[in-house]
Amino acid sequence: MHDDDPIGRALRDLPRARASEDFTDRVLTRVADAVDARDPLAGPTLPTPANRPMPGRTLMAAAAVLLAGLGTGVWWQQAQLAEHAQQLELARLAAEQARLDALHRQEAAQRIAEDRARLDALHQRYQQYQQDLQRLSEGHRSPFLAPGTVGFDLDGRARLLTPGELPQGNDYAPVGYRPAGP
Amino acid sequence: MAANVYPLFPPAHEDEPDDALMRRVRTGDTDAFAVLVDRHKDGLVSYLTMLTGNRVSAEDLAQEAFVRAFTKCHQYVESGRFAAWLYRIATNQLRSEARRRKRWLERVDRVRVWISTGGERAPDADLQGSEEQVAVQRALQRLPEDYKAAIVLREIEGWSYAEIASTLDIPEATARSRVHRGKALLRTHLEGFWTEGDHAR
Repeated sequence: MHDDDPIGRALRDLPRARASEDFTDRVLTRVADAVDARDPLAGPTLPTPANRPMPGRTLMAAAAVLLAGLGTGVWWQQAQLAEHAQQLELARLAAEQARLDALHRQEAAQRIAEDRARLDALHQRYQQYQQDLQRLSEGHRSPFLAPGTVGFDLDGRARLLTPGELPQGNDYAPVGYRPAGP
Repeated sequence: MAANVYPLFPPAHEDEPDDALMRRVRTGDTDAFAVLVDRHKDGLVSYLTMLTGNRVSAEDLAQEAFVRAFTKCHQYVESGRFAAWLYRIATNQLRSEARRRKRWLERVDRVRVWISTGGERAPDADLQGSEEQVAVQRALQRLPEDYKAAIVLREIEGWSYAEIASTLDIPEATARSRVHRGKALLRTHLEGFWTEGDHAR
């Protein structure tokens, strides 16, 4: 399609501008400036072209630190070391915080599991209690029904059962019912 | 002396996709951002140079666009279209800048070129290439901004209409229309220069 289009071909043949050699470094410097300007109390300055770690720069840095210690005073070196220690401390604190967060998450999950098990057990007991209550309210003799336990009258009132009130010959006869006979 | 910086991030790789690099950038990884800048800087500077006709302004705008891309990196939605997002920032920036300082910039640029060249060269001294290429660039500069951006992205950068539409925030059909009409205008502007023989080349 494009090959038949002289305008398109002429446009594609135009010389293309290229970014300057130090374009990336200048962008990164402006990025660091923008970040610093946005939050002057931010932690360590973002790596810029001036302080990005480079092999040659490391040697120069070591030599400069040595000269600084010997010639211009140890205080400067100590300031650098303090800054490095501060960075290490920040990293250590971040790692410790992450570890504590993970631990708290684990403990919370364990507590939730225990609470859930307790809740399930309570629910089962509650259901069993409801079934027993239902059976008793219908006047059926519970398998555990015995003299002195709580029973219900035919009008639904609860009271202690006496031995004479126990159903005879029929486990499921209503409480208080006695078969006709002598 | 420069302060040592402890490497907080694993090194960014040149072949990592843009979206993966942007994930790193969101955590403050400037090395990953440097890879993105290296990857897109030439294209963006070329695009902005075509639009402004001024390489110095284009480079400055491109730098500002990258800085904004970094500071607004949390707004980027991973879609595999980082370039479209970046060019959109740059295009919006160019538009607002043009609206604010259009006449002033034109006058200052003309005076600057006139002073630096002793008044002997044409105002569009940044244009380079053969006579035909200069004519094409001059005709391109005469196009309305909207047409110019669509044509540069389509014909020079080789983008799809969907990418152009995303960058310029217009429907895809509008992108097609702008490219078509812009080329027709270009053809009209070049009529005086472009003979039938040149077409056949």
